[in-house]
Amino acid sequence: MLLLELNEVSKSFGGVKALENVTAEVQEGEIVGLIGPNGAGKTTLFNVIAGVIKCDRGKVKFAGKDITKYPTHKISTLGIGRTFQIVRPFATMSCLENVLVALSISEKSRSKNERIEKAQELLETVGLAEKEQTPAGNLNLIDKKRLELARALATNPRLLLLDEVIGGLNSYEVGEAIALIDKLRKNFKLTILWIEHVMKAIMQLSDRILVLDQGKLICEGTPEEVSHDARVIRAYLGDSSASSS
Amino acid sequence: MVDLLLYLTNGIVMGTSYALCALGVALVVGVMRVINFAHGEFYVLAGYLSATFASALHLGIFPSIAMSILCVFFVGLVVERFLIRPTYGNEMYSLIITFILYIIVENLYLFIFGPYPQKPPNWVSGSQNLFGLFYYGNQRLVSFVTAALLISIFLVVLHKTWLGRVIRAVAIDREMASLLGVNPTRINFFSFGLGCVLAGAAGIVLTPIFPVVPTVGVGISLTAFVVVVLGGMDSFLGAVVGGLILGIVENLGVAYISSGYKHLFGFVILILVLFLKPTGLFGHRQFQ
Amino acid sequence: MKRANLVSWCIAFVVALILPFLVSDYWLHSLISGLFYVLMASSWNLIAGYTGQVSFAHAAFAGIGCYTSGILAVKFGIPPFFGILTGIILAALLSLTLGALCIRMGGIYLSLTTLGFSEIVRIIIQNEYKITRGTMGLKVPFLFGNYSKITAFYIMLAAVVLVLVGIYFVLKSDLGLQFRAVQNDEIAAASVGVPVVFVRLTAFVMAGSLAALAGGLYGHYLLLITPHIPSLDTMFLVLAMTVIGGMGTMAGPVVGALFLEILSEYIRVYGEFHVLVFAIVAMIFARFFPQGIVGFMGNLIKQKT
Repeated sequence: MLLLELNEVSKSFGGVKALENVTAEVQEGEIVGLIGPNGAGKTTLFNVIAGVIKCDRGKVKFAGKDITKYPTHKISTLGIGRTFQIVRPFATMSCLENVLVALSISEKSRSKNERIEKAQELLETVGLAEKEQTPAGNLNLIDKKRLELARALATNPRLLLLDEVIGGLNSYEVGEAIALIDKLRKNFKLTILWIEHVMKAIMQLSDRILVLDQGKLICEGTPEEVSHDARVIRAYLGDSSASSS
Repeated sequence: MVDLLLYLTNGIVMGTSYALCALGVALVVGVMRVINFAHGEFYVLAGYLSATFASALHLGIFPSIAMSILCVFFVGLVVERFLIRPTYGNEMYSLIITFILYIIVENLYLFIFGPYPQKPPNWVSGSQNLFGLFYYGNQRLVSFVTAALLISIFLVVLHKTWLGRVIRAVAIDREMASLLGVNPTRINFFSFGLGCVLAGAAGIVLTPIFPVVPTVGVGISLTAFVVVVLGGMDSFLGAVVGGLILGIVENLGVAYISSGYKHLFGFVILILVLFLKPTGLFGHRQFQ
Repeated sequence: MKRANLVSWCIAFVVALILPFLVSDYWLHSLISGLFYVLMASSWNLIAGYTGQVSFAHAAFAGIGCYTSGILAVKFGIPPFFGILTGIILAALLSLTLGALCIRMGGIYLSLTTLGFSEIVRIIIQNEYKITRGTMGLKVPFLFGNYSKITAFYIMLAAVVLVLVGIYFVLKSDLGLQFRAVQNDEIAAASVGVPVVFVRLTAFVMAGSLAALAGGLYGHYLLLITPHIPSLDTMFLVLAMTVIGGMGTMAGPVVGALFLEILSEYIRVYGEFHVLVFAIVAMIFARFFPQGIVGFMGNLIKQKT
C-alpha cells in the first residue's frame, strides 16, 4: 500500500530554492534512504512532510489523505513520527517524562500506570532503562538520540522519519544503531524514511534510496543502482570541496 | 475639505517618524529575533539628551543632535553587550529582560529629568502656507523632510551596500549568513545599536514638536510594534508603509472620532491585522 | 510531591492561619496585599514559567476583574461574589479572543498584543471616567457583610490555597506535562502530537481568569478601585516577583511575592523610587540568577547532599 506520496513539492527561502518539484512515494513496510550533499534540502523535505514548514507548491499525501496544510501535531497523531538532525529533547524533563508527553497524546485512554509501563518498555528498547529519571538535558548525544527515537516510537507511528540518527556515532555504535533500527522496524511494523550520511548503514539497510541535490530529486532506485548512477557520483564529487561529513 | 487635508498632512508627517522608529524594531527583530520593549526609551533618551545638551551645555542645535545620537548608539551597544547577548536563543528571556529595562529606564528618567515636559529648541521658526489652504509649522515640515531623508538613506544602505546585504542575509537565514563568513554576533551587536539610533532619530525629529515626559516611551514602543506587525515583521518596506498608514489613521481618528482614544486606533489596527492577515501587509514569515 | 516539600507547605499554611493574630493592623494589610500578589504571580507563572510565554496583560485582567465587579456593585447593586464571577468570565472570554488571535503567531506576538491590550484597558478606564471615576478611583462595597481585615485575610488565604492546589493538580496532569513540553521545545512538542497553540491558549485563559479573581477580591478589600491595579507598574511587580522567586516552580512566585511585599514596606520611604529599586533587583536576578531564589536555594541544597 502507498503510504507517503509527495507530488511536485517546492519550497524556497528568500529566493533560494530549497526544494524543487520533488515527487516521490514510499510504500508501506519499506525502508527508504534519503541521501544527498549538504544543503540538498533533505531536512527541509522532512520538515515539509512533518508540517513544520509549509511548502509553496505541491502536495503531501499520507495514507491517501492530503496533509499538505495540516498542522504538525495533527500530522503526528495521524501516524508520522520523527527525530531531529539537531536533537531536541525536552531538556528540563526526565527521560521518562519525555516519553510520557508523547504517550499523553497517543495513549490518551490508557491509565497513568499503563503509560508509565509502556514508557519504561520503550526506554528499555532503545537502551535507556537505567536513565529514566535523568533530565534529558544531561544526557550525552547518543543517549539524546536514543531518547528521541523512544519519543518518536511513543507516538505509535506508521511512518518514522529519522534525520541522521547515526551521525556522530563511532563505528561500534553505528553497528549497534543499525541493529536497533532493524529490530524496531520488525517489532513495530514500521515504514522508515531516513536521512543518513553514513553510506555503509544506508546501503546496508535500505530497500530503496532517494537522492536529492540542490532541492531536486536526481535519482531513485535500489542501493546498487544508486551507487552506480553517474548523476549521483557527480553530485557527491562536486560537493567534495565542502568536505561533507 | 481643508480640514481633511490638514489632518492628512499631519498624518503623513507623524507617520514618517513612526516609520523611522519602526524601522529600528524591524531591524532588531529581523536580525536578532528580539523585541526590545525598551525601544521607545531610546527615543526618549535622544529627546532628553538633545534638550539637555542644548540648554545646559549651550551647544548649538546640530552639535547637540550629533552628540545625542552618538550617545544613544553607545548606550544601545552597551545594552546589547551586557543584557541582550546573554539571551540569544531564548526569546522569553529577552522579552523579560527588555521589559525590566523599560521599567528601570522610565524610572531613571523620572529621577533625573523630573516629571515635567522638556523639549529641545526648534530648529527653525515660522510657518508656511501649504497648498494655499492652511499654515503649517516650519519645524514640522523640516522634521518631516529629515525623517524622510533618514529613511531613504537607511533603505539605500540596506539595499546597495555590503553592510546592507549582510544584514539582509542574516535577517533571512542565520545559518546561511554564517556560512558566508559573517560573524553573526558582531552583526547583532551593530544592528541593535543601529536599531536604537533609529528610535533616537525619531526622538530627535519629533521632540521639538512634542516635548518628552518620562512615561512617553511605552507609547512610542507600542506604536512602533503596531507598525511592524501591520507592515510585516520581516519587511523593511512594510515598516515604512505601515508607519504612514498608522500616522494617517491616528490623525483622522483623533480628528473625527475621539482624541482621548488616540492609541486605541493603533490597537484596533493590530487586532485587525492579526485577524485578517497575521503576517502583515508585506510579511511572509511566522515568528515561531 | 516529596514529603519534605509537603511538610514545608503545611507549615507555611499553619503559620498563615495564625498570623492575623500575631501582627499589627498595618502589617495585616501588607499581608493581604502580599496574598493578592501571590495569586497574581502564581497564575502568571502558569504561562511564563510553565509554557514559556510572556503576557503583559496580567494586571489588565486583574483590572477587568475588579472593575467589572466594582461597576456591577455600584451601578446595579450586584453582590461582589457574583460580580467577581462575572469578571472572571469576562476575563476568560477576552483572553480567549486575544490569545486565539496572536498565540498562533508565536511568543513575540503575544507579548506585543498583551502590552497593547494593557495600555488600552488603562486608556478606557481613564476616558470613561463617568463610569470608572478615572484616576479618582471607584468606591466599592466590601466582599460581604461588615468590613473586617481578618475576614478579608482569610478569604484571600482561602483563594490562595484553592488556586495553588488547583495549579498543582493541573501541573500533575497530562496538560501540565504538555505545558512543560511546549516550554522546552514547541517544535519537538508538536512533532509528538502536542497541540501547541491549544495548550498555550489554555494556559493563557486559565491565567487570565485567575488574575481576574485576584483583582476582584483585592478590589473589594481595598474598597477603592484605582487604575493602579491594571497598570504596567503592577504588571511589572508581578513579573519581578515571579522572576525573583523563581519561574517554573510552585514556591517561586509565593516566595517572590512575599519577599517583595515585605521589602517594599522597608523601602517605602523612597516613595516613587521604590519601583526603580525593585526593577534593579529584578534585573540582577534575571541576568545573574535566572532560576530565582527558589531555584538557587534548590541548587545549593543539591550540591550539599
